[in-house]
Amino acid sequence: VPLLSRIRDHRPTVVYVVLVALSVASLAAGKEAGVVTNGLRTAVSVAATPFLLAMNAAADAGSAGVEFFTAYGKAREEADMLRGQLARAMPKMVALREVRAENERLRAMLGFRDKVSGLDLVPAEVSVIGWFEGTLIIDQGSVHGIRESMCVLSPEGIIGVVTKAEPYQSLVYTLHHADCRIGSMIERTRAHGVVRGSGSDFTQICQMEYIDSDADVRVNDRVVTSGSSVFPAGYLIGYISAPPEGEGSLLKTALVQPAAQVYQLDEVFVLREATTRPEQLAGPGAARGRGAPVEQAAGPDDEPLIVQPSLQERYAP
Amino acid sequence: MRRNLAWAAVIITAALLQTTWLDEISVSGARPDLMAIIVVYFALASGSERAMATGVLGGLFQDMASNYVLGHHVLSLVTVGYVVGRVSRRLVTDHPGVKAALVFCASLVNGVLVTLVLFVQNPDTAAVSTVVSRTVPTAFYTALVTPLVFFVLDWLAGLGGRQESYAQ
Repeated sequence: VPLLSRIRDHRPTVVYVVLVALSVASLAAGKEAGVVTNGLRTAVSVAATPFLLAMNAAADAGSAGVEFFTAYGKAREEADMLRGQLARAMPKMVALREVRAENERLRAMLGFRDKVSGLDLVPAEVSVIGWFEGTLIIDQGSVHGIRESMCVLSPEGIIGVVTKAEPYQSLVYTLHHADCRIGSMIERTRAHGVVRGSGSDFTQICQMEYIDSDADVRVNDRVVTSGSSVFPAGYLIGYISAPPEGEGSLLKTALVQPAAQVYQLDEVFVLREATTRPEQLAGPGAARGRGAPVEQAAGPDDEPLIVQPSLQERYAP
Repeated sequence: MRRNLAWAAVIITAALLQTTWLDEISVSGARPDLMAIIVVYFALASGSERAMATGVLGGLFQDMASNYVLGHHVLSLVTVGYVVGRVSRRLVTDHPGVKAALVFCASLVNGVLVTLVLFVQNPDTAAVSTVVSRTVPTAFYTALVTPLVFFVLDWLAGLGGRQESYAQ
């Protein structure tokens, strides 16, 4: 009884001693204590779980609350940042689009160059477009081997003829120029004529003149070079866009819509030298039917035919 | 019963905060010793037995969360609770500065005891430098936040229906 009474009187001290003793015993036992430690660990983790969940929920709610007030500022900052990025990206995008378009054009030109293996083509960039004059200025000149009366063409069709070759640039009369005349023929019927520009025609429609009155000419017929002038035979000029006029007279005239968009080109080819093959001159079908003209035009050994027209032939068939 | 549940909830929350969020407000590795503040608060309010019980519960949680050997924090916090409980009977002032000083001493003792036990377990521990570089700044930091924590605990005690404040 006296011991119990003394313990009751000094209960905090006794409790302290007991707790310290238990702690020391646990520390002495170390981590390998096993059952007791594991049991306590489990109990503690279970007891802590709802508090952890509550704390996480409170943290999330706090973050959401703060974000609610700061979201506008953030959104505005983000919008400014994106606007800046867009402003920086726009010139790059435009340049990229330009490069892509140029790449496509150059690929098309490369494909055309590979396809027409018989031609010695010099690529040239269009420096100046003379819409009203019907002229182009290209960046290749006499130092690059360009000479007057050379043919200018593109993958889409015939463009015009070089009329003046300066050292580093050349003047090209386009199909629409009044002084440009191209020996041509209807591909389907081989009916010959001359395509010329009106010179003041804003519609950029050309005329095919001197068509034989008996020739069969229809709308949408392909008009190609005849090989009788500076241009190699068989290259597309354009399409018949209206029924021919002059029925009943000796010669007919038809309107021709050029195939190439002459004033929308950035690159063209200048033809330095051409080898005219028989089938180009007479057409595959015609060559089979009438062999004689083909052989005469191409020569017996099919050697390259250097086009060197006379001055009269530059602008007339 | 309700009072004891609230008391346990406060301790568990404080222990969880001690081992999780308080890292966010640490300054040069020193963070407030929230458990020491809680132990001192209950020692002042309810005496050494309640403070020791607080130390046991909070110490267990801290040991488990910190992966220390069981009894590590329990030993130090129980000692702090016992000593502060005994001292508080002789405390005749309610000045906040005195309470902050008491918490400073309690945190210092707590830190020294924890380091000492670590040193006993592993003599390679740099005990003195740990006390100087970590325990003392922690004690200062703890004393600084003491008024705020005591205010929150008083407010919680008021919510729980107790008219008199623990710390008054």
